[in-house]
Amino acid sequence: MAASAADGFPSLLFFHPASVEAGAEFFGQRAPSVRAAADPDHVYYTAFGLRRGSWRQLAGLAVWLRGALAFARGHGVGRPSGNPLLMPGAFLIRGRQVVWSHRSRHAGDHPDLAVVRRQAAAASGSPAPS
Amino acid sequence: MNQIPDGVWTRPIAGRNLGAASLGEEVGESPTLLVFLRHLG
Repeated sequence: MAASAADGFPSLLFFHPASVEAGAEFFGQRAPSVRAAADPDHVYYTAFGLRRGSWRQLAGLAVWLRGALAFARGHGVGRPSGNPLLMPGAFLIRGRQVVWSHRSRHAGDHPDLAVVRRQAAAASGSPAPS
Repeated sequence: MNQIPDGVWTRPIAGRNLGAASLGEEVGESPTLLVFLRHLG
């Protein structure tokens, strides 16, 4: 959540599958300035093609390896709120147009931030960051 | 999906630090990264 427009990053809008109240509490403690939309009925998740993951996507070897790496870097796991069976994803949009997307292959698969910056620069007509 | 459908673009959204009533009003025309989280916590 540390990336920002100052880094050449696009504006961010998070979606989460928990309630408005749970989201307000979570982001209020960890990232008070970010925008976060609640989607407890999964309407937006479904519209963007994000659904429940398979056993392998949610708890396969790749997920454990990424989890161990995150743990080694000091990141823990709290009690989940929302729906931990949903698959995550990221979509770069300009207006209504989806110009780039990352559908996670497994629960620990995150988008490459350098790719996001390049795609955002291309979408805004700016020179691509090196 | 190449284009966000009307029903999603104009659907009311609720959450933290949102200044508009729908996704379309919230993001406008500037590039925006929508990040869908698995869960909180």
